[in-house]
Parts: sequence; C-alpha cells; structure tokens
Amino acid sequence: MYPVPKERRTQAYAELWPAHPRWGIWAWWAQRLTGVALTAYVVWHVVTIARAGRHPEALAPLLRFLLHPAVLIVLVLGLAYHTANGIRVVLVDLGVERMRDRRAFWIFAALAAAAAAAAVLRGAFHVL
Amino acid sequence: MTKVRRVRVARSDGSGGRAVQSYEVPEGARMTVLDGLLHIHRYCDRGLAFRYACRAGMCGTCSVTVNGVGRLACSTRLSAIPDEVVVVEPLRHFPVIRDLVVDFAPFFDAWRAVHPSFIPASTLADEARVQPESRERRLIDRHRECISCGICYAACDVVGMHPGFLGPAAMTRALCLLADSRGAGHEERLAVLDSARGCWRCHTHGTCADLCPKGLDPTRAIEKVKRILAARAMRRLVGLRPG
Amino acid sequence: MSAMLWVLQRGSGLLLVFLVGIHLGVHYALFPISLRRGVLLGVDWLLLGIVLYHGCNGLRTIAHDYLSGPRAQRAADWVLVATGLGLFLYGSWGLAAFAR
Repeated sequence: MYPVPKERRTQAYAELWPAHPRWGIWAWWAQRLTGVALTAYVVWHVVTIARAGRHPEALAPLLRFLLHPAVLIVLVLGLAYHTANGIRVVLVDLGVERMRDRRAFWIFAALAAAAAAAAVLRGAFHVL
Repeated sequence: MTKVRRVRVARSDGSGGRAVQSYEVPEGARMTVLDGLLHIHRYCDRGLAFRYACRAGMCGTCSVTVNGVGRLACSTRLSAIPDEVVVVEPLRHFPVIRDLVVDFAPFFDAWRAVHPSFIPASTLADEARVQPESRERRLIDRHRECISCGICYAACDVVGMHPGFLGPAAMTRALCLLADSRGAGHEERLAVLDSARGCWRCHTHGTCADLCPKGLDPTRAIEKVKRILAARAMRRLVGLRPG
Repeated sequence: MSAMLWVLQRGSGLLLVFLVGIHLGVHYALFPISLRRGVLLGVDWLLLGIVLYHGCNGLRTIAHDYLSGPRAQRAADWVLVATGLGLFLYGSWGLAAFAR
C-alpha cells in the first residue's frame, strides 16, 4: 500500500458503515455477505462429502440434511441473490450502464427470487 | 418577518478537538449555504474560517459537508435542505486546518500521481486533431469538466479505508488523458492505475457519481479504466502487443 | 496480475452459473437431465476448482480492503492460496471415492 505520511492519514481504521448510504452499497454488502457465507458452506460441503465418500454410512444423513426444506431455502436464497446480483455486476463491468440503476437491481432480484422459489418447490417439496 | 434558520457549524483549530457552534441566520428567499456562512462571518463570528471564490459553482473552492452530504456551499440553497437545522462540517477524508478549511494535499497527491497534464506524443504530426464527433472526443468530453472540488473524494468509502487510494477525481482525469490519441505517458499512468492505490479497490458504489456537482460520472470512468487494463492483461496473456 | 484476477472472478462467476446449475439440477433432481457418471464427476471436479477460486479470490478482495500494509496483504494472499489449493486437493481425493 502506498505509504501515506502520518499527518495525512485521516483514519486509522476501516469504515464499516458507509458515509452516504445508498441502495447500491447495501446491494454490495449483501453480495459480500452471501459470498462469504457461500464460501464457508462450500468448505463445509467439500469436507463432509469427501468424508462421506470414504464412509458411505455418513452419506445418507448428510443428504437428508442437505435436502431439508429449511436448509435448502437458506442456501438457495443466498445463492440466488449472489448469482443474480453477480450477473448484474458483470454486465455493469462490461459497460452496460443501464444495469447500474435501482430498477435493474430489483428486476434481477425478482428473477432470483422466482428461480429460488422454483428450485425449492421442486427440490424440497417435489411440487412443479 | 424573515424566517430564521439554525445553522450549526463545526469549529476546530486543527489540533484535533472539534466543537459545534449554533447560529441563527435570517433566511432570505434564494440564500445559499455560502450566504449563510458569510452572514455568520460578518455579523456573528469574525473568526469563522471557510473558503470560497467564484460563488457561482465553477471553481470548486467552497466544498463542505452539509447535513452529512458533500456539497458546494455556493450552489446549495437553504430552502432545498429539508431538515430544520443545517449542519455544516468540513469535507470528509481531508485533514482539517481550521473550522471548514481542509488540507487538499492528499487529493492533489493522488492527482499528481496520474501525471495529470497532457504530454504530447513525440510522433505527432504538425496539427494533431481529435475530431469533435469521434468516439475518443465523446469519451473525453463525458469526463473532462472536473473542477477538483473534492466532493467525490470525500464521498468515497474506499478513500476512507485507504488514505493512499487515488480516488474518483484523479482516476477520471487519468482516463481523459489516456483516451487522448495525441498524448503520451500512457504506460506510466496505467502503471499507477494498476497499482495497489489504483482502480482495483473501487467497488462501484457510485456515491461519487451521485454527488458530483458538475454531473460527472467517475464510477463510469473508473469502470472504463478497469476494462482498459483488463484488455491489456488479456492481450498480453495471448501474446499480442498491448494496444 | 490484479487485472487478470478481476477478469477471472467475473469469468468464473459466469461459468459457475452453469456448473452450479447442473450440480443442483442433477443432485436435487430439479430437471430431467441425466448425465453419464464420468461426465457428472468431471463437471463436479471442474466445479470444485472454479468455486474454490471464486470464493478465495472474493475473500482476497475483502482482505485487501481491510488490510493496508503490503506485507499484511501478501500474507493474506499466501494463506488464501494455501487454503484454496489444500481444499482442492482434499476435495479431488474425496471426489475420487465416488468414481468407483
């Protein structure tokens, strides 16, 4: 990091609360939180599946847990949000300016919610 | 009877302590925050320190924080502020010299780091032109009219976290020069934009674009810089000469 | 290097939309897709590598936001590379058990 002379440093800590709260900052925070949560889940998932592969008796209860509606809902909601907002961010990064406004965000969020609902209904409740 | 508005101003002597003082300012029809500060200075407290110059929204000198938002004092009408009490504080992320006067050194340090002046290319023909309808001209025009008021720098959360971060204004300026086909110095500018103080720390929050008093869009400029750097990296990977 | 990491984060994200879609679709029987066991194993292995990259790179961005010294940032980078690589190797070994 560029060495800044002590007298010019205005803060010694990182700001956790935004100076100007905007919808975009909350969307970004949610992207980060779901990302961290999903990464933690992936780590757990890799470890437990690897163990279940060598000890087949552990596989069945693990799958039952993963297929539980409550678990599925939390996972799918987090994944759906992260995916939908992620696609929007990629579009912004590619230069599509229209994806930067609030309406675009809510359209993607709605699509995510719909996909999540469909996945949960089909996967956990075997409806659809 | 003229309406009276309570204006609270952050006072400090630069040594670290800060106090807020309250003043009653008679609010005229089209009075701005700067008018309020001038009233306070003239009739209430001759010791109040603040900056201004053109009073017309062109020079960028009078930038302050009004009710938590960075604004040009001369262009912010008191009538446009919905809260009953107007709170005026120095710009965020700048060291305070006194009261509302801040030290712009960090801002111009970042500004200078991107080689902000035009460097003509040595291979220029006699009359090097950029046609007004060209894509290049339209891109530069979109980001050119910065008055270095520092409001975007004050608004940026990343500046708050990383004092060495170049910030929206410096990077927008860099883009204007990078896009200029008549210029040189692109490698040096791209190097600093690619560094730890550069564009990769920007998280596209967009607060800078929201608050720019000239309607500029530094978020968009920084996204363009990222795409330029990404294209170069990918070309280099494939073995092509950097464009 | 930062530029490539930025590009790969977006690229891996887009790839993951499909890989995770297939993974969930098959394992939760969400859509009538049937893959040969070898193909599914291949998809899951690809998913393992790419999701670990995407996750670790995401954590790297967050770490660099909150750590300001170049030494601290480099240390975080090494921790993440080691963790990601370690998990990938362990996960590959774990997946191999399902190949029989």
